[in-house]
Amino acid sequence: MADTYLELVNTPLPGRIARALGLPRPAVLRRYTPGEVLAPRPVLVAGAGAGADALADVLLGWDIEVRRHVLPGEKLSAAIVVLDRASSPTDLTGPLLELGQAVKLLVPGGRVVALFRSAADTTDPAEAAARQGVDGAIRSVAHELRGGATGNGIVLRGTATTTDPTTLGALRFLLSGKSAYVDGQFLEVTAVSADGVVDLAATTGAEGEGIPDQPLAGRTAVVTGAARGIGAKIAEVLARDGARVIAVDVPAAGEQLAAVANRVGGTALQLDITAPDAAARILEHVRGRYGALDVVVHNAGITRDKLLANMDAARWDSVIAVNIASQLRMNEQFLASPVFSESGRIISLASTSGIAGNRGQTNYAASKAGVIGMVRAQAAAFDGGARTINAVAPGFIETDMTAKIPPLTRQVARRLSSLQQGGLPVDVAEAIAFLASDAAAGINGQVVRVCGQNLVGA
Amino acid sequence: MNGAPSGETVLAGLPSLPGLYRQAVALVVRRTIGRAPVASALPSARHRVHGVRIDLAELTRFEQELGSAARDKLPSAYLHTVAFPVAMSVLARPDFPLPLLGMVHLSNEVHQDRQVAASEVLDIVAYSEDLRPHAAGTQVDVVTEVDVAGRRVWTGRSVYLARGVRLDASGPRTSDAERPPFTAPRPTALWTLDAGTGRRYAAVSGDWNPIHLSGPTARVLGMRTAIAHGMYLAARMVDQAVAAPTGALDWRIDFAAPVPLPAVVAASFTRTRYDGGERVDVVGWSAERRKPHFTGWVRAE
Amino acid sequence: MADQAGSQNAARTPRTAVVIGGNRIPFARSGGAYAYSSNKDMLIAALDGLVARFGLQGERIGEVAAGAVLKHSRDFNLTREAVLGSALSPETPAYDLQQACATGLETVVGLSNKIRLGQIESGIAGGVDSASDAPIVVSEGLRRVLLDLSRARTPQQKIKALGRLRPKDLSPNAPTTGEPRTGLSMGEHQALTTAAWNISREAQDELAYRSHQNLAAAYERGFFADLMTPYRGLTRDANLRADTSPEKLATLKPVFGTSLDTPATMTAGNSTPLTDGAALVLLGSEEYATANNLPMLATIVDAEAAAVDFVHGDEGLLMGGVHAVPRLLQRNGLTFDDFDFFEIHEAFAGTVLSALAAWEDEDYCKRVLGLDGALGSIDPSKLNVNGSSLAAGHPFAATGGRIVATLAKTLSEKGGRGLISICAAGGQGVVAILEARN
Repeated sequence: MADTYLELVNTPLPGRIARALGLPRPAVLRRYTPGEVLAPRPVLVAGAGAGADALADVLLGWDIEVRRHVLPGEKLSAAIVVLDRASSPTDLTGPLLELGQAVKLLVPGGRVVALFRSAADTTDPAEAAARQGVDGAIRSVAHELRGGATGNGIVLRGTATTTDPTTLGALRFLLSGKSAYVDGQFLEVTAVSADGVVDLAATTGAEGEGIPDQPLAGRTAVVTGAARGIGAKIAEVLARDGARVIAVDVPAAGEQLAAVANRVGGTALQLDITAPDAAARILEHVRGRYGALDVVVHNAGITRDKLLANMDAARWDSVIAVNIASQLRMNEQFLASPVFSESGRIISLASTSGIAGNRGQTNYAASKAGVIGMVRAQAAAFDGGARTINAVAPGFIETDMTAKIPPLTRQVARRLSSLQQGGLPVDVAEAIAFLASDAAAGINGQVVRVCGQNLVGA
Repeated sequence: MNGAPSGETVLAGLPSLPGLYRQAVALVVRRTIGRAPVASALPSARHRVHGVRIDLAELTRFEQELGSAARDKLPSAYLHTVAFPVAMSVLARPDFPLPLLGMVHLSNEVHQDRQVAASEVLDIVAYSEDLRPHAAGTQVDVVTEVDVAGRRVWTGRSVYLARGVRLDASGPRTSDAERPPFTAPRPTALWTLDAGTGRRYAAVSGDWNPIHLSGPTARVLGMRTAIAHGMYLAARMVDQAVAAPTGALDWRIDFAAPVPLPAVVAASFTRTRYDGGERVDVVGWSAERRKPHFTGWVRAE
Repeated sequence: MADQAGSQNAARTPRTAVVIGGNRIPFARSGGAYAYSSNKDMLIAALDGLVARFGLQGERIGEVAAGAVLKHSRDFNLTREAVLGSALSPETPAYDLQQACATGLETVVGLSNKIRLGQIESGIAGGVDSASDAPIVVSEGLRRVLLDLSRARTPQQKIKALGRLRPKDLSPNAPTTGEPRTGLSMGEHQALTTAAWNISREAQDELAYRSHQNLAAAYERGFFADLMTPYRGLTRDANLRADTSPEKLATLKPVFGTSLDTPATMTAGNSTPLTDGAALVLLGSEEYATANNLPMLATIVDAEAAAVDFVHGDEGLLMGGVHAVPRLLQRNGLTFDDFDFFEIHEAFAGTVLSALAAWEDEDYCKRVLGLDGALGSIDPSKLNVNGSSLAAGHPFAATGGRIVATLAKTLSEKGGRGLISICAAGGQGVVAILEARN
């Protein structure tokens, strides 16, 4: 579904009219293309301390021009503010005011990333206030950014440092066009034990080793609901990143499913994920064709909207069955199977409706909030191992499903985010591909919203 | 044609069938107005044509109209067709006692010693014999013989009936009154003959007898509607019975009732193998009215 | 995936050819969902579904063989054109084959033989047919005029050629299912056989009913989930009537054999309708399947073709399989007791029942088939257990691929040995033996 308004305001005359009338002027987002240059302009690393210095060194190693202070008039690709040492709210003043100067100099599609420690990991009230304060400040900066720039945070949990592989993986993701529609989000990263990470250097590509554009090379990924929309795009992006993709959808969607599988060079597996033997059939297919299952993307989902007062059992049950019950049952069987990799990744599609609720979607919100609950509980069970489970919660994404929303409502919904536009399926897919990669080994139990910092449920 | 009533006449080439029909029409007119005598005995004349060569294009059209393979061997029925103008020229003689036009084809019997190649040069002779009464008129045999290099390869005997013509009231009459009631056997074939069948076969066989061409032309000669050529049915029967004969081939067809066009003719082919050969018995009948059109057999060695 | 893995040192001794899997599009009734799809369209759809199922994108398959019974002259290279339009490597060779309704099975036989000889490692076999998009040809008269016109050099010759054109020549000819040599339609031929074997209306309706029941049950348990890819909005065979009953079938009026002396018993319900569809199977050597981690559903053991003389009334048109089966069993030293599944193509219910009756008839088996006695009986519970053509429909050249894939999967699930018999126009029959792995 094309956002014609977005296209219009990005042409000269209508753009000037929109500016004059004070209408929203959404920017064309900077999205990833293979071979992308992470930061064509200098990157500011604000903040003091060993963590900031070490990070600046790493960025230099990525062939990025690093500035420790803003130079007047010099455009910046990104501003990174390192606040891992903040122990009191007053520690924020210098770095954040420096950030304020940098924001003015950001190129379109620029990035603001804050690295700080989690308030949950301290018992000191002042330190917690400082850490939580960063959260509020970065969310606010994200609202203020224009020109398709985004503001996000990386929350260091436990002993995680600014240069841990997962920290760097998250940073690369947030600097990259892959996170175009991720805005106002905070990725919690934990330090990963050595045995939990498989050949990280090769997959983060930080030192230019391995296959830089193929972080999922050699991995086998199952994507449910892959016949169309977001699922088809997930299959595409995983395949682009080197994964062997098994595209799963109901037999009735087999024609589109085959087209997707053929486009991504994967295999099509027609099955109903609510069937008791669904996981067994997937495992059998993977065992026979590929050996091991590395990535599971629970994307299949349905909506059967109705006000709760008018809800019937069929609508309720079908949504629960497809959106959450099937995932619970399949996960149980995957985890019990030797076919599921020891460093396996599970990524479930949640929804902002599951976070903030949505009128007419009690059943859907229950199922999607259920996904979040499931992810957090399962993540706790994975803690200490190499497996991870995370959720991605899309906001307003331009799909066939949202195309059915009445035009005016759709226009309003699009502008309700900081980026003043809907996201694309590829934005969701990029977040999933990131979470599936080794670079995200230290991200577990997170709910990553891909919503352009939507006002709903923020 | 300027031969004596008896003995052999050698024709310069194959006579033109349309010319013979025109001649026959003229003869009818002259007889009707009493200008031409009607003979009461068969002429003993034999008409012969030497050196007949086959036109491959015409042969191919004939074969394709019948649905048979275009081979370089002549279909047995095609030899009849090639020789037909010679036979007709006997029937069209002014001294022939029966009217050519409106004569009904009762049966054909062919004996063929070997297969004849399209490249072979044919000598054809035709004559009539055995004028005799029939329950419905008078019948006569027309015998056609085809020789190659002085050896007889093909002999055909056609029996024609002139309805209502009585030459000798005292003669013995064959009767078909005792014919047993017809029970249709299991059909093994269904021939769908459209209204144009007669015209198309006329085009490939040269037999432009008006009774085959259209309703009006047939009605002029006393038919209710156009009827299929007997030889068309015979040719299909022989081809279907033995698609690829290699040696001697004998066959016979007896026509019970004409096939009015258009028509669906049901046919039953029953094969009996015997030492050194096979015999296929054939019955053809009206699929709609369940009345027989013809019976026949084909023997191949 | 490398196809030529074992070709270079192909052994002289025959190897084993296996069925790896299959794919078909649901069969549509003529004029239905695929009314505007050509044979090539449907064949590409079936190919793409197969490629997607087994991840064959861009792979050079050893050879693709398929065909169509009703084929446009423009589709002279139908299968190769379909390959070029598919997700397979454009370097995949292909050829067309036509053996009427046995086309699909014969492509399986042909390619499996190539695999066994080591000439190819992998193959895709099957067929397609559209009764909706059937070729219509100009009349013979017009055709000849046009041909002569193209050969004419002078204006006079052209005028002469055109002058032969008659108004009736302008009406086109649609294809018929009539036997060229007898003029009888297939149904009329079968009606003779059905009558000759005294097959009752009730028995035919019962067989049709079971076909629908079995096919519906197979769909219900998801049997076709990995054998079929939907196309043009169709997710199941359009001809399937899960709710039919012998009572409903008994109400239909006979359509064939109405001019015979015996009661007419063949109806639209116990005869296959004109159908559109395509079906393919993926074949390979054991080495190919193993090297590419592909499943092996069944082994293709042996096959036999037979033809009967229906022109001279010696035998029924669709009895070819009846003659082929005993020859195949004899060569393999097997009897009916050695089989767990029978797939006898349901051209008409009467075809299947006539075959069963013939094999049970001692006199017939001695006299006509030259056996010592009756060939034997087939347990109805082993016959067409996942439905057959009466329920699924019968796009002529697609039926072989449907049956081979269905039987191969049945064998992979249940084990055992299966016999396929497919009758075809021209008095032909092609039969084959498949065996479960292990």
